[in-house]
This record gives sequence, C-alpha cells and structure tokens, in this order.
Amino acid sequence: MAGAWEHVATELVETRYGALVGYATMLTGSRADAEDVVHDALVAVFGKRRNLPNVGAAEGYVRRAIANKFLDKARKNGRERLAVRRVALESDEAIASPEAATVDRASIDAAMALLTPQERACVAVRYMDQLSTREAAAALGLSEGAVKRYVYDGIRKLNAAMSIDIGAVDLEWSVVSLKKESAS
Amino acid sequence: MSDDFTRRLEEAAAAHGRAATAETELSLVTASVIGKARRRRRVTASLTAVGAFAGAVVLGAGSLAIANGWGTNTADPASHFGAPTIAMSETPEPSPETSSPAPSGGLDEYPPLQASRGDGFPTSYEMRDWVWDYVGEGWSVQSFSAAQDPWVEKPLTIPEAVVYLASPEGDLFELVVLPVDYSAGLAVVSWEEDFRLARIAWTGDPESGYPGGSAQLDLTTGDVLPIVLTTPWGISSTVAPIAVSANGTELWKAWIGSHVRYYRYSSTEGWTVASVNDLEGIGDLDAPERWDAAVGAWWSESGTAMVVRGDGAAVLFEFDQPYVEGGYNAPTQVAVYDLDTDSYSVTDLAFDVESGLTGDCAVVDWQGAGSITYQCGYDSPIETVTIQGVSALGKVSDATVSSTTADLPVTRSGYVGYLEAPPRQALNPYCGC
Repeated sequence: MAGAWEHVATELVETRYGALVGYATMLTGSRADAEDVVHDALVAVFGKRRNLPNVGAAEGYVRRAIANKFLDKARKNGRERLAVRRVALESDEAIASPEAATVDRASIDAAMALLTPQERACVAVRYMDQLSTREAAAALGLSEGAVKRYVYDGIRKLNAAMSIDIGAVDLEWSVVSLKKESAS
Repeated sequence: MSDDFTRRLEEAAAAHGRAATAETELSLVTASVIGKARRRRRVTASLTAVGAFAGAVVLGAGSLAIANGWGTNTADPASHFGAPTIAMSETPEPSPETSSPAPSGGLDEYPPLQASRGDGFPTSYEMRDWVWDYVGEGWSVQSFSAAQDPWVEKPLTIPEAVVYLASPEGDLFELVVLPVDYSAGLAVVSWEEDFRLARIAWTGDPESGYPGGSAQLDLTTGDVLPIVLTTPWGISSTVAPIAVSANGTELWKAWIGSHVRYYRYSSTEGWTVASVNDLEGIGDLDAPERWDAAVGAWWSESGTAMVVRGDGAAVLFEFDQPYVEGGYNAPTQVAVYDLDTDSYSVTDLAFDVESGLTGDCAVVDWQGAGSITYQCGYDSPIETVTIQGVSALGKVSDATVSSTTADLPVTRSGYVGYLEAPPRQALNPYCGC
C-alpha cells in the first residue's frame, strides 16, 4: 500500500514538475541539467522520513534541494562549473520554444548564464522564491554576508547585460568567508 | 523594477517548464522518484534500527571500559568500542550503574551523559559553556565519521558525523552533530579556542550527491560556513587543506578551472596569499613547465600523499618539466615552503641515474638531517638528494586516502590537539592532488 508521502510525491510531479524544471533551468542554464537536478532533489526530499503534509510543503523542500544540489555540483570542481556555463551559453540550441516571449526569455537566459553558480542560486532564491537574506543563507548553506554579496554582484551583471536597472533587494553586503585579493 | 525582473524570471522559468512538461512522460519520472526514495527510506530505516540496537551495545561496552580504566586514555574507538559480544548485545536494558562511564575526575563537575549516537561513536557528555573554561594543554577537538568506499557498488547511508571536545583525561563532550552533507570522511583541520571555531574538511560521497569540501565550523552553534576564496580568476570552486603547523598557520589550496592558488591562514593575519604563489607557473595547471606541490611516489608506502614535513610546518614543491616518454622524469628544482614565515627556499637538483632508466623520480622519504630521498623508477637505484637549511624533519606521510569497508564503520576521523598540528594523514584525503 502506498504511503502518504507517495501520494504527495505523485501529485507534486504531476502538477508541479514543469515549474520545478523551469526553476532549475534558471539555475543551470540547461534543461537537461535541470531535469537531472530536479530528479535528484525529488529523491533526496522524499527519500527522508519527514512530514510532508501537502504538495505546497513538499515543493518548498524540493526547491531548496534544487538550489542546494545545483550549488553542490558547482562547487565540486571548476571543470564542471565551466561546463555548466558553456551549456548555458548554448541556450539557443538547448532551449527551443515557440513562445512569443522568446526574445525576452533568451535575454534573461543569456544574462543569467553570465552569473557564477553562486550568484545564480542567490538571485533565484531571492527573486523567484522571495526568501529573505537569512532564509536564503540557511537554504543554500551560505553566510548572510555571502548571499548579499552574490545577489549584489549578480544584479550588477544582470543590469549591465540587460541594460535595465533592477533594484537590488540587498545593496549592502559584507565579506564574511570571502577574501578578496588586493590588486597588487 | 525588481518586481518586473521577478516577473521576467518567472515567465522565462514558466516557458522552460511548459516545454519540459510537454516533452516528459511524467509517470516515468514519478515511478523513478518513488522507487529510489523507497530504497533510501528502507536503508535509512535499517540503519536506524541497527543504531538503536547498537546503542545498548555501546553502553555495555562503556561499562566494560570502566573496569578497564576508561577515561585514562584519549578516546580510541577501536579499543573502547570494538565488536560487541553476543552476551553484551543480548542485554536489553543495562542498569543505570553499568550504563554510565565514571567521570575521570578532570573536571569539578560533569554535565549529563549525551544520548548514544550509535555504533562506533564514543560515549560523551552533553556540552556546557563552562567546559570551555577548562580547555588548555592536552585538550583536543576530535571528529568521528564514516566514509563510503567509492568501489562499493551498493551505496549506503552515511551517518551524521559528530565533533567532540576531548579532555586530557579522555572525557568527550559533544559539540556538533553535522548534517550528512558534511559528514562523509569528515576531519578537523584546526580549531581556535578563543573564537570557538574549527576548520573542517570532508571527502564527501559524490555518488550519493554529497561532494567533498571544506568549511569553517562554529563549535558553539554548529553553523557551517563553506570556505570560498576569491582568486584572480574568479571564486574558487574547491578549497582543500594542505598543511597546518603547530603555531596554527595553515596552507590551503584553491581551485578554479585550470588554475590553482595557495592561501595561508593564521588567527592573527586571517587569510593571505601565500608567497609560494610567486613560483613560476604554479597557478596554471596547463603550463608545460611549472612548479607544483610534490606528492609521494605512488609505488611507495607513502602513496601519492602531499609531501609535508613531520611538524606540518613545511611543504615541498617541485619544478617539473614536460613529460619525457621513454626516459625518466625528475624535478630540476625543489622549494621548501615554510608556513610560519611564509617564505620558501629553492634548491637545484641534479639526478645522476643509470642511462636508459625510465620512469619517474619521486619522494619516498623526508628524513632528518635535511635530506629528502627520491627514488627514480620503482625498481631502480635510489637517488638521495640533500636539501640544506631544513631542520626538524620528519618522514613523508605514510597515509593514503582512507578506505572503509562496506558496512561504513564509524571511526575517529580527526584529531587536533590544543596548540598542535593535526596528523598529516588527516589532511591528505582532501588535497585533491
């Protein structure tokens, strides 16, 4: 007999799979990578014995897991990270769609591809998930200072790439674990 | 404008999502996810049951250890919590008198005993802030963890690693239980009593989705802050410890793409760029001729461990020329980097080996009297090279990447004494070299 969690998992995939892949695609820049990350995140979330009363609660866990798994993979090594970026820059090939907003979407995709994985993750959880800095830090395993910095740097790049002026939700930032080398 | 940006992000994501939904057989996704999740739940449940059962065993073993003088030595799980006997495991409810190890008496009072963490984990006390007042000479921070054997096909669940504060008498106080993400092959690299911080590294279990890494750990709150460094080529993707001196100076290596960068950490200066980065080509992994950290000969007992002096305060670097096929490959220069002074000295090398020799010349020993032993070809004559001006030498670490058996036993995986360098082998699994 299927457990309650299996019903939640089934409903989540049937009703929100597209949204999860879309969210992950904004992080990875590639739908294929996004589907892998979503699958891993779903297994990780439902593979643990936790109380997931409904689809909404489960989706929250899965979205955090998506961002975490994306960052973990990016941290793993530089080659993998560069590969992700390369795929992201090939978005015309990776993402074919008849959507009317293709131009706008492509510009967003291309601009997001310019960000580092950490910046993409932080921008995504702050702007798409509307998490606070503290919540984002907890979700991504980063310090609050690092989240602020990544959001700041990410927004700066997006503004330049898209010739717009996104009002950064966190203009202040402080270096906690990051050490910037002097120019000398 | 940020609302507009959010809308554009969501629209782009939704478009990707619609395409994914249209092109994906969702029932297959559901079946795959549920199947794998079920398996994970079964493994976790099995391990939990074993852990609960083993908890009683550990208590029994603890009582046995009392009779044998537990508390008089630093904790050694291999000796105190070895394979339980059937008689012990059949004891359903150990009496209170036999379930608690006697305090060693090193402290005026003791907190309550911590609940057992399962097989392999030592008996410990709950941590109290006042315990820090006792910390000084002879105290240490220790980690207990398990590691997945990468060659075992069936992945097993990694238990959460635990970090303890240990008194000179062997009393352990549980500081932090780490999330499983940071638990596979965890080791303490260093710790600072004043700040109650430790730097940790873990080998990870990439097959299970847990990559290796390193972080700063708050020993009071348990907060984990991944160590990320900004290099000239961008933000580091991987950072790993190389060596730690007894003075608390640390050497770390950061990777990004095809570049590496060495960083030095000390409690007084924080993170600084190590002078060893001035060596030609050291940062460019693609350079045909370049300096690189020396690793031990793969055919020796040392394995391919980083070549670090016995006291942890010096690291050997070599200048490597392009690989010569059919000949022998040997460094033409070596540099000894001193962590505490952030300086290095370069020595030219000249290998005089038999003609026709093929293979590599690599370090097999770093002994006293300033000599480093190279062996050229694993069945060839040994060439000894003397490096001047290097004192207090030790042997090349004899550690290799730790291996574990399929049942993922928990062992003491890290130990750093008060104002001491960690054992060199504690760092080698993380260097990625």
